[in-house]
Amino acid sequence: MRAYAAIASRQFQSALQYRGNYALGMLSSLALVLAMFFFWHAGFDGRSAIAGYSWAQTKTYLLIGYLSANLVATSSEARMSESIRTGNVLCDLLLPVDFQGARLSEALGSVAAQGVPALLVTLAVAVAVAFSGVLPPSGIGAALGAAVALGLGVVLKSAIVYASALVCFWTTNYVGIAWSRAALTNLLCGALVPLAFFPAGVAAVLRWLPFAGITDTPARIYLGQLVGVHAFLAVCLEAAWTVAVLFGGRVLWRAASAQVTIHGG
Amino acid sequence: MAAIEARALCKAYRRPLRAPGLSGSVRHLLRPRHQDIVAVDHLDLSIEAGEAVCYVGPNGAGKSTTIKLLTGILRPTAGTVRVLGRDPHRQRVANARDIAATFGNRSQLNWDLPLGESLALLRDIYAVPQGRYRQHLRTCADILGIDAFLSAPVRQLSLGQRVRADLAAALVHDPKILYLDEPTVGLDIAVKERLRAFLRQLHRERGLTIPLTTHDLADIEDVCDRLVIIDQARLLYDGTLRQVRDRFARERVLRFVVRQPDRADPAGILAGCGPVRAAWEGDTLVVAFDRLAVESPAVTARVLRAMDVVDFHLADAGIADVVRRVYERRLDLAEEGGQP
Repeated sequence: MRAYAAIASRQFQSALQYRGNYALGMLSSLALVLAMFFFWHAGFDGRSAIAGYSWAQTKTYLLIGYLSANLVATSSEARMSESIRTGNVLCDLLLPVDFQGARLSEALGSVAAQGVPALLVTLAVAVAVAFSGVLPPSGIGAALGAAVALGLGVVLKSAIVYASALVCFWTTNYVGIAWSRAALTNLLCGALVPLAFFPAGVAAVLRWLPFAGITDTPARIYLGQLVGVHAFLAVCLEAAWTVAVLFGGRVLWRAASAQVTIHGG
Repeated sequence: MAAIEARALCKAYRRPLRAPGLSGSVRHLLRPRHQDIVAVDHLDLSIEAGEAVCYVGPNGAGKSTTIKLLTGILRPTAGTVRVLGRDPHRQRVANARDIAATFGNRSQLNWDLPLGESLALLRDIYAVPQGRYRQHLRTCADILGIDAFLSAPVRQLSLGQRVRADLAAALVHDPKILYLDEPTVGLDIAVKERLRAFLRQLHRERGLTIPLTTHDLADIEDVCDRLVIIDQARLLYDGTLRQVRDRFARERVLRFVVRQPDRADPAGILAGCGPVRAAWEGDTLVVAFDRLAVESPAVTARVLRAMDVVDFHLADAGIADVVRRVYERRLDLAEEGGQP
């Protein structure tokens, strides 16, 4: 465990090395959250509700979606794919640590360094400027439940990112994979469009998929749309998916590590 | 049991076969074709604990691939590897605690952090006690001089500093086996010397097992006691340096610079020394012979007696000559009874 804690904390430190990058990251997340706000604001023009969501509920849902999308710094994906592409992954393989465990530790180190502070600042500004009228959690239970679901979502998303980055062992090109992965995850988890806005049948299916745990589950628990047993079962489903994706990542890794070829010295 | 044992080790990989130009690329996209490339072909290799083995071969011969198979990074296509009794690929994490490796053109140090932080991360990963870690830093400061750039970010180090830093990093956990893939590539003479001195010390004093690949033949003579030559994925030769020298590097050349040479046929003066070849090059008499069949003092004494010699020079064929002849396919070590 000490080894993994050390890896996470060094990743945290190395993310702090780049001040410019840091500031730029905050600026771009701010731009994104504002863009999303204005987009949906236009959608609500002249209507009081879409698919049963008021403007205030939608704003709150989207803000939670934004939070969940930015907590997992996808730089860990770029770093991992890059090291697979260049062959530097061989240095990771020389260390006596589990490959998946080490990469997840790095991802969590990045969350601490980039995700959290950038989000706090951005959220403060965004709430003040555009998101006034965001709803408070529907109760203490809802707040706690949403926090648990959101935290679990960070692990779930990191596990998804890890598995998709492993595909580089076969394709040696990561940009396409990363983009498809990001587009798919953000669309299917509700970070761009609340899942309730999809046709009812589609929304029902999407809520059974692993992605819903990242945004839809915490957001609906927060809003008081998922309560009691339903909320509990939704978090159980999310936990089950987290375990399944982590395990899938291990299976994929076993196949990938047989596939490793590192040329040129 | 040997520390490292490879049996019929093979590694093949696929290379895309693409016709040249745009049409070739499009056709490859629609119907990809691949060719199997064999990087290591039925290699048998056994290295005892405490041996320093040099692994040479032309570029692309399969040296690095072999090292990566032995370290457990790559999985063999066929054959087996045992390192300290383990399968290094299946038991990669356990194996990683006992071995270390450096790759001349890569670094395992964190690019963004100061070197000291990078080393401390390795200390934490391997759970090295603080006292031992400090001792290691002192040794590396004394011999490799890393204390001068311990606080610099790794991305700012020069190549020579980075290679030394990587070696210091590899040894943090006191490994039993140290694999070195081209440890001196791109380094200046002073750094090379320093590195070799350190490796010699590790090998002789700490009994570290060192398999190393190189193109710099001075690495071999300075550090290793055994030579393995491979080419085109196959083992060509495996034996001690002494054996190689005595079998294939026996030619000795003596050059005598003579004042007012008469350039007469030297065969007369050298009669009785044994089989020698002698010829004039300007005012220099060049005598070449097998150093095990002919005694150098006998040759020297006869020449000194007969001529007014102002200077002389002796050169032995070295490992470098042998390796060059093997690369150029002018010498088949196996055919000449090189396979022990």
